[in-house]
Amino acid sequence: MAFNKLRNNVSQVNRGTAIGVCADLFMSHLKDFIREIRACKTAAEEREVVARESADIRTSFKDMKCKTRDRNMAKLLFIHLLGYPAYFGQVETVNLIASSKFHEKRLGYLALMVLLDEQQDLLMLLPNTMKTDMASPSNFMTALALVALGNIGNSEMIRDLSSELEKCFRHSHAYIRKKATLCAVRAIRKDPDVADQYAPKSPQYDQLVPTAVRALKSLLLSNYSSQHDVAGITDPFLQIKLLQVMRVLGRGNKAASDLMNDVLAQVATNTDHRKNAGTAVLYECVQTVLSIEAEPVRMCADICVCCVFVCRKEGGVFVCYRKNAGTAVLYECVQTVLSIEAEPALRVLAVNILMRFLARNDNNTRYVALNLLSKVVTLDKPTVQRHKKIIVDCLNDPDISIRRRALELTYALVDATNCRHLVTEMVDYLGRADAEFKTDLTRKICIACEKYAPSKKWQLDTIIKVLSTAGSYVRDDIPSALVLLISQTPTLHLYAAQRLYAALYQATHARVAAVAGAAAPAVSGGKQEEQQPPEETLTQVAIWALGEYGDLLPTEPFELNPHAEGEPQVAVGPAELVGLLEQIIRLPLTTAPTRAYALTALTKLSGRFTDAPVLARITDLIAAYRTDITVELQQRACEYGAVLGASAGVLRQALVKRMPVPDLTCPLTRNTEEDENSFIEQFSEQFSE
Amino acid sequence: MTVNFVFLISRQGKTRVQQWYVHYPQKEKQKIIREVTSLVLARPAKMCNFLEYRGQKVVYKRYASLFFIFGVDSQDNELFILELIHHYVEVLDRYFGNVCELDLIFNFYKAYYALNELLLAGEVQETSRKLILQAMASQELVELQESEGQSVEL
Repeated sequence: MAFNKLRNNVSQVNRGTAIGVCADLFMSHLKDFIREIRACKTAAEEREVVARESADIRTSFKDMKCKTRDRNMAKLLFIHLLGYPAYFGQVETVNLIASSKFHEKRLGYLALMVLLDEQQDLLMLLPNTMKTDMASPSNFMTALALVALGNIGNSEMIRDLSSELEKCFRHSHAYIRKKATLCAVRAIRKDPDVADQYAPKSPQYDQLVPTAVRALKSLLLSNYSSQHDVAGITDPFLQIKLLQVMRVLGRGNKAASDLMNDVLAQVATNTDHRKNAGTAVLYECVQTVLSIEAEPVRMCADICVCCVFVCRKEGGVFVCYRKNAGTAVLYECVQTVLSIEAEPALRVLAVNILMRFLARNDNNTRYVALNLLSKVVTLDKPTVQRHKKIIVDCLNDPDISIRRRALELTYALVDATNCRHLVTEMVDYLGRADAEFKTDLTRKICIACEKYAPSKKWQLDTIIKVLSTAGSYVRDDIPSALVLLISQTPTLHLYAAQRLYAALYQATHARVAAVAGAAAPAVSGGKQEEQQPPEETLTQVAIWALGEYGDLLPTEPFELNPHAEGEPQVAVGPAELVGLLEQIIRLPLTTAPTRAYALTALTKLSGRFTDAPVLARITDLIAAYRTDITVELQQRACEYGAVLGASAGVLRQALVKRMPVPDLTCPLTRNTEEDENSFIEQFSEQFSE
Repeated sequence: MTVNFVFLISRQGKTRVQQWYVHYPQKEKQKIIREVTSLVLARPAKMCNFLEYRGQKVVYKRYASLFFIFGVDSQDNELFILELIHHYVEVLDRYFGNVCELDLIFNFYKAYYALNELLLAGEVQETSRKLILQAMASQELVELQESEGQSVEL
């Protein structure tokens, strides 16, 4: 029944019976098997059926005289699709390919492409059979071999079969020539050296230009053809490929570009962009216009004007076309307007059109718009800047593809004038961002701060906020950047100590509460132990800062939570400070490195404070770790104990002095100066270093 | 412009067709299918049809209960790929006559045959629906003649 329509479609061949008979011969067993699998109610049942069938198939493959190899292979392919192992059928594919029956051969080649890949040694067995097939009088045999070669051929296979492949270039049927050409594409991709072999001896690419132009022109002018028509456009696939070829041919070639001008303008004006197919063609056309040596002003102005005109005209209509209607126009407009030295007004208009698309409901359009805007932003920041609200709103889009683009764009938009606003948005977003974004995002925020922060104080607040929101996602260079920032800015010492004391105080109390609340540690503790608790990084930075500048705290009372109104100011004395550090050390979840930081901080503080009870407490705390199970802590405790001891005397004062300010640049911007666009490259550089 | 992989995935996450044009080790393939499937299936209908995944672009479209998923280079024209997906669906639709998922389950190898007439080495091979259908029909005719000959012999 399903095939009735087909029978009508292809009248030359009497296909109805063809499928009927084949189905009888080979399909019924396969169908029964698939039905059986589908009838399975549980996964265990399915596994059982598959295991039984796999065993049968394996046995049958061992028997060379078996008549049902084809249907067994078909079953095996289905088993493979379900995700079960099917490697034992690999050798059998070679046997099937060697068969003289067409349908076995066809299935064999299919199985070869599904079950094997280009790296398997088994492929060495194939070239001889494939050679025969490629030279076969039957086009379809030749085609099968070519498809296999094109899809999984490795360089050895291609080398072995190159003379047959060359013969196929001159085949009388276009069907074969097309396949052979694409095989050559793969051959050249695998091994660029063979390109000479398949290219004409003295390539005269210029001669191709008129051919390409003619072909494209005839596509534009051709009448409706049902087999190639897509939404009113004749063969958009071919048009796009031709445009790509013209891009290659016209790059840096004035004469060739001149030949293309007219046809490009034709594509730009005549293509109906309201459907996806047309949009795709237009998009390609503009890319071509951009890369060839077109008469820049005339060509681009033509296209620009037509695009802008079309956009305006369609402005109201877009609502009805929920498809990808204006997308490519957008691609074009913006790319064209920006690449030529267009009037600024046109540029603004183009960006405005983009923004209109961005505000629309269709997500494909919005994605492409954002994608383009991030290209635009490097060229013309101020125009895009005006629309930052819409872009920032996209950070809240439910669609991750759009969020990713919006984030890139937001970061690209940051500069000294809007840093406060955009970075605050990004920090807000950090709290609800997807886990995979967080590492990158924290880094971007900190780099943006480093470059454009309005004040050091603001920068400090922002980084502290980043660490407290996404502390476990940051890379090591962010805490070190923060430490560097604090130590290099003497005016911030007190403020940093206050803020970090407050942050540490809150984090520690939250943890104390959590420990007290979690009587059954399995519930809350299980997950935390696998990963660093989120505030670990912040804790370490805070402990360091308190060790360095904690002695400044008693000079001035401050609020623990500056955001809450009417919070009483607290005065933090030596006793409170040491008490907080003690609390952290004693918390069961505190990690050994953090404890080590705390011990160091305590030792430093011992030189700054003079109260006897405080000093005694510090000495006790450090002494307690002389027998700790962690060697690092034990060693530190013993050494610091010696420093604190009476015999150290003068030496101690020198040892626990404030750290000299390191003369370094920020670790975040050190690499970025070279290439600030690509974070991935930087990361890989860092790793390779 | 290159297609790196093509999957047909049902709404339940079952693979119906998987074709690779770029080499990955077997384990990697399974991982990619798993990850791409879960990414695509999790997306509500109104979101855009593009996903960025491991430096590639995944362009997908849902037709009834099936997702057609193409993995392409990140520089490719996304709209072109959407059109290509639709082209493949139209070929299947004409071949089976109002195609449904069951057709593709029971005749999965025919979906492969059609795909192999449409794409080769990750490039578009044939843009005419009629020629693709003709090629498939003629090959089936060869199979038919062969099997008739065989049955006479038997």
